[in-house]
Amino acid sequence: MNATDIGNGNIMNQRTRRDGQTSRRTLLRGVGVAMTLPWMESLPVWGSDDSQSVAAPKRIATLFMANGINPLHWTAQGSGSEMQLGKCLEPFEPLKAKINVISGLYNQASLGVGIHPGQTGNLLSGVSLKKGSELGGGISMDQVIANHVGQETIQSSLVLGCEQPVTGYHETNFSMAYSSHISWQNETSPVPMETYPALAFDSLFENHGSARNRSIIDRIQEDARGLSRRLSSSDQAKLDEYIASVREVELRTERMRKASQKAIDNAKDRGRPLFTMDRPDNGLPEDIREHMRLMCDIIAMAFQTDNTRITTLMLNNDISGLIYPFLGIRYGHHGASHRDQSDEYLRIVQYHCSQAAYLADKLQSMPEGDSNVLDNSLVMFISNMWSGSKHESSRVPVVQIGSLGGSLETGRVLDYTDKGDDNRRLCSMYLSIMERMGVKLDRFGDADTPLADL
Amino acid sequence: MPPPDAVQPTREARAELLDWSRFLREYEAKRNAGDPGPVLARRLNGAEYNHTIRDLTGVDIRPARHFPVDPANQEGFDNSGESLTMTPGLLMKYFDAARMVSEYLVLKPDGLDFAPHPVVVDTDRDKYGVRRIVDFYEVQNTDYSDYFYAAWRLRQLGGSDNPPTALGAVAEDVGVSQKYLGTVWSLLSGSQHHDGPIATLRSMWLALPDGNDRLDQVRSGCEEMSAFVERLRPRLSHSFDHLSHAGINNGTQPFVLWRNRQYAAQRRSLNRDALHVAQSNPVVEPDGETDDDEMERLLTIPADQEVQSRHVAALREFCDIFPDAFFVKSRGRDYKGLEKQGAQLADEAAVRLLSAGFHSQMGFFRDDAPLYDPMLDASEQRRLDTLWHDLDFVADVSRRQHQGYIWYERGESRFLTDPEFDFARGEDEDITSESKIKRLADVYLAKAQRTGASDQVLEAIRQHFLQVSSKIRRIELARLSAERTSPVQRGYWVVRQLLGERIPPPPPDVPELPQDESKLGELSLVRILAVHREHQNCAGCHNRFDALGVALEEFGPIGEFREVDLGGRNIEARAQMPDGIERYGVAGLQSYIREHRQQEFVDNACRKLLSYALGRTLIVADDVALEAMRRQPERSNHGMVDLIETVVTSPPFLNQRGRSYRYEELAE
Repeated sequence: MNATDIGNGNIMNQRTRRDGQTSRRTLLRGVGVAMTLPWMESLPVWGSDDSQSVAAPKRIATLFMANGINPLHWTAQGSGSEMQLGKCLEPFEPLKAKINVISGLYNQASLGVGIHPGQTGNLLSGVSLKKGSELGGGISMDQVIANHVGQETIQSSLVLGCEQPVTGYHETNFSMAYSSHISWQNETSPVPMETYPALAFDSLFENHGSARNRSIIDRIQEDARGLSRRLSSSDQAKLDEYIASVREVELRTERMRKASQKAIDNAKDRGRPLFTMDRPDNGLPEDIREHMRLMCDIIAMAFQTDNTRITTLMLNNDISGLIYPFLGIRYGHHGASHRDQSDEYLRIVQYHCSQAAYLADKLQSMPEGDSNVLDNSLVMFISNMWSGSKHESSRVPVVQIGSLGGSLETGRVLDYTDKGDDNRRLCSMYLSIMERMGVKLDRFGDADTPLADL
Repeated sequence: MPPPDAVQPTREARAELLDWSRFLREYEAKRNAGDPGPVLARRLNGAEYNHTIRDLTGVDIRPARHFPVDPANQEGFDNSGESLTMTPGLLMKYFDAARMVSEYLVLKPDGLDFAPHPVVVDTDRDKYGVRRIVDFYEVQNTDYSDYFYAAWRLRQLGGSDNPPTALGAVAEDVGVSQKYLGTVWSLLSGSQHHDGPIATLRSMWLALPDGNDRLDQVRSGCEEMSAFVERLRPRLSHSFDHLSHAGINNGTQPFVLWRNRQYAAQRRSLNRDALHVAQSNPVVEPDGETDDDEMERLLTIPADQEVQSRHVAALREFCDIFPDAFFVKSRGRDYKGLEKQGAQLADEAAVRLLSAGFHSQMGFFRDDAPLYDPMLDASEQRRLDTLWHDLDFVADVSRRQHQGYIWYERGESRFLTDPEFDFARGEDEDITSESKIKRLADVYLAKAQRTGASDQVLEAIRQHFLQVSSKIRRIELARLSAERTSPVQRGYWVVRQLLGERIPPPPPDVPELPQDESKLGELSLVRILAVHREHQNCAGCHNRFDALGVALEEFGPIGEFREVDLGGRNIEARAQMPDGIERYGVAGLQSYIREHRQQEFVDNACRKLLSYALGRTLIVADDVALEAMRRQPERSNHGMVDLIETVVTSPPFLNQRGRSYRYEELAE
């Protein structure tokens, strides 16, 4: 079997499971809602009487940052708690026993094709992209896994972004669509990216139509009350805490939805369409800080509730136009990346790393069995370039956080730069990850062997 | 049988057994002759499913290509129920297939369509909309030689004696636009004196031999005429420089669009600067003139004022009739003022269909005025307008183009990186709101002014924002007002489908209601209907059902509950029912039916249910079963289960018409 077979046989992403029969797990149910419970001592949560016999699910979140890092400060030495992290990686300091800093990997298909879109649209697939107006790439690693494990969850995957996709054509004659999409469902179609947090939230809970008027928590409340009677007191507290955390995210997305709806209603009352509303009455977080954070919270919640196991989040697009006035920088992200050795760009990189660290920390705070959600997950931080000023993609920066259910040894610095080209393929790393997720492929992208020593 | 080492039956016993089994088989066959056999309900096989989807959508999507191969029955065919079973795994494939088909779906202003390719992301929607326009352009005949030839054919028919009929017939036969052929015909056959290139064309055309025996010569003469136009026309075209202003990227949308607009506006006009005045009079045609000499001579205008103005007028008319392009199908990137080279345009990969020519942002530019007016008839013009509107609607072009603009200006050109522009982010949902575009325009213009931009630059920017805003607004309105409810149709449906009442079709002179709610003006739909009912011809019928539809007004065009309509007016679901009592909403409708039309409702429901169950139109003999059904509900308080039970235990449901045939009869 190869990746293309999987893509052809199963091109649908975001498959929704509605049969209600295949669950092996204890769920809280309500109208349009199914939420998995966190691990509890008094309940066989994972569906069998012997709760230890069924492993917790493994999840993968890929966080993408555009246009490379600050090469001067992307350094790491040592291992475990002794690891010395460079300035870029400082946000990972509290997590360093749980991270792998991986350098020297490259994607063959992104080399020699010109800068930007050709270096991005295939970051997770390793497939050569087609120039011109027709899109052509290949199924990405996350979607291969989603096709494999997606049947188990409400959504097979969640593909998110914080910046609207840009289309058009880059001077290299690649479509700019490659710059806005790293998740691909097959060789011609990227997975549409959700940039609105409220819609991302809805997609996890079948939150549509009139059901939306009722809180998700209200809808599962009755089920939760019934369950509560069977729990030990410490588990009851855990359940309350869990429900409260979902509620918190729901409330934040709801605030935005309400504001947006209010704006639409106001406009309707005046008998004309919505043209006149100022932010924040428009449904998007006013500040990119809140936007990124909310997306991370939604991923964390999706993992905790086991509504999806695979997510990608493009913190920004390649050739990003995001600006970061709160970091004291006035250029756009892309412009700043052309001065990638500057302190300004260092701050931008740190800021992006802190998003991954925030997500990891949040997952770590969610108990699951004897461990926590982070230990059963992999948060992968990756960029399409090493150096933005040189548009260098002959190696890309990767940080892995979490041990994927104990299958990944962490606390390591792995440098493949001098291992020879055949031994430092990014797609080899994907083969390794996919194998740990139960997808055994002979070949993926440009690689036919897993990454050594990972 | 039996095994060789066992005791063997006698020959007679063997024969007897064989006879017996043969007899039994024949007996059974005859006894059951005519038995249609068990024909199981079955799913469609893969080929049938593919063809069904193709027939339904008009697109050959082949969603069954990922299904497992259909098993065949004993005879080797895959169309019988025994083999076409459904498994849970296959059901999942069907769901996937249905989703796959839905990926081809396009939402247009007037309904759904299916694209010949998946429509998942923005670039797919672009492709769908662009392809339809380009296909339209490509079937237009803009080959001049065909028009010259068609005009020659008209000449052979005696030309102007019977122009409209002859024109239409020849245009159709040659495959050219009748409208434009008329123009070319007038130019070539007219009696008015012409100077310059028109005189040249006319003399070339008049020199074409008459009669059908030298068609090759006629054809090549027409080609030469066409080549003459193609040689001269580009030399009379305008050329426009890029706008520029320090700090603003030359590839910025306002500048590129400004230049596109200049070209588009001047496609049918003469560039006076391309001409030069002769040193002496008259400009004579020398012997042995080369093509280049000829072009040079035509660009040289006589010094004599009167002759000059005639010559220029002729050139103007020439430019008007022969535009420098009928439409622009593709553009290369108009980036930083780099000249668009022929070689670059010839490279298919370097040009984009209908592109506006921006550097990295998407955007399309319509440049087809010389095709639109002179060549297309009214219905073709409407079609082309619709295709462009569809592109904007389907692919959300205006909005995305503006988003790309913000992204480019903020990230790439850096003109918008000052804090005063922080309110505008490409990813904001309201980035295309009227107020935000206006605010951006104000701040942008202020900065441009501050930094010393020329009046032309300022005007280009001002125009840009105004156009962006109005285009986006037009599409937003189209989205909001794509549909309205129809209390008339709903009311008619209720009386026809729920109560079984028959009402004659509307008279042909029925006044039309507005297309959408936003065009109703101050009046609500309900009020307009009331006015309509004052019309005597209409009142007789409308009084019987309008009110029943008005009661459903609380539900919008797609069935959503609402309190205001799409025009922002409060919903009026209160109506005077045919019994003279005012009632409100669905509950009101229900109580009206219960009080006055209960029996009609029950009768109609029984008829429909029985007809559905029997799979045929009802006949007189069904009255007995209907009567049983009508009695049943009275006993069971109209329970659906009892009603269905009455149907499925009724003789017409349990029996089939016909008599049993004996095998012998059939054999005869």
